[in-house]
Amino acid sequence: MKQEEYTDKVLVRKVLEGNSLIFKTIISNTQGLVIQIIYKMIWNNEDREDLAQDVYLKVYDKLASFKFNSKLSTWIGTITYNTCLNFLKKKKIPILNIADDEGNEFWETIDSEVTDNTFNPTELYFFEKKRSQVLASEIDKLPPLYKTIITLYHNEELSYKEIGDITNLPEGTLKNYLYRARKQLRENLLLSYKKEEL
Amino acid sequence: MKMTHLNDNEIQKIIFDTSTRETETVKHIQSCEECKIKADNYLSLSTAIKNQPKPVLNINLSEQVLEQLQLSSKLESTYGYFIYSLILSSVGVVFSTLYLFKENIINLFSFTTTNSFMVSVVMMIAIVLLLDLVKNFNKKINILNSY
Repeated sequence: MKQEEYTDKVLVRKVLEGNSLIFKTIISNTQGLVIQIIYKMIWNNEDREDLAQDVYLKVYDKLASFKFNSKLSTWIGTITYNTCLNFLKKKKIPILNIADDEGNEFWETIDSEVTDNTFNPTELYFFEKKRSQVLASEIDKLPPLYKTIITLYHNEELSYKEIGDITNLPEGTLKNYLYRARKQLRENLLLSYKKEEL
Repeated sequence: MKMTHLNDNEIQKIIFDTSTRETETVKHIQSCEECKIKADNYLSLSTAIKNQPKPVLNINLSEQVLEQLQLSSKLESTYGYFIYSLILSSVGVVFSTLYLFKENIINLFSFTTTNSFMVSVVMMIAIVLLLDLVKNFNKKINILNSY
């Protein structure tokens, strides 16, 4: 962490001194996270490319105001998330669907009969074989916020604190959303399998 | 030991939040095949998400961003020259006006009652505007600092 902090400081200082080529290093160090967030929140490819560039132009402009209270990548992640959020707000796309009185999400209708089941060996086989493809498509069906946090936690392996910093969510809320996201994803996978079986 | 089946949140807590898991639920999962399978599903799900390929853009992001930064710095410098020349010409206009109307201006500060009244009103307005400007500037800086 300290080494990372030191590197961040050196990189930021050099860019602020006018060495804009060093900014390339910052981009290559952080673009994985930025692209992940953008891909999970935005559907259109052209918009994704524009937003990714927009994010780094914002980062360059605001770099002098970075206070090193977090890792540089987390700060850039926050800018990315907020940029996507503003984009979705403009397009009037919700990042999370509203739950009804019983807490059931409207995003995807789930058959209750299916949700009560657990995987049998055939289902496990399904998990092994088509996992990657089906999983990717099922993750895509989740609301943007769920997709983002689930990817940041499992794929990018960020801590609750880092994800909380990026999304501005309290830890408790974040954990709760993660539980719901995993549950919804598992149920959707089961549903998708059941549909295929028919 | 908990005798009823664990719900999804309890199972997930056992797998992903090891620090907050309860002994009762851990004991249950060790002896309950159904909950154990569910827990394994979540573990497989976690591994599968972890192994998902990372997305890539079709453009060279760093090249594109640096290109845009260079372009914007060129535009900024052109804009800067434009602003400087505008300021210089404004200063020129102000000084030539002062020179041309110097007698009238000297008369203005001859401190007749009307003139002093006009000057004090103008100065008061200028002070209020300046304070407002400083207040707005500080507000914007504070917003940027909170990032």
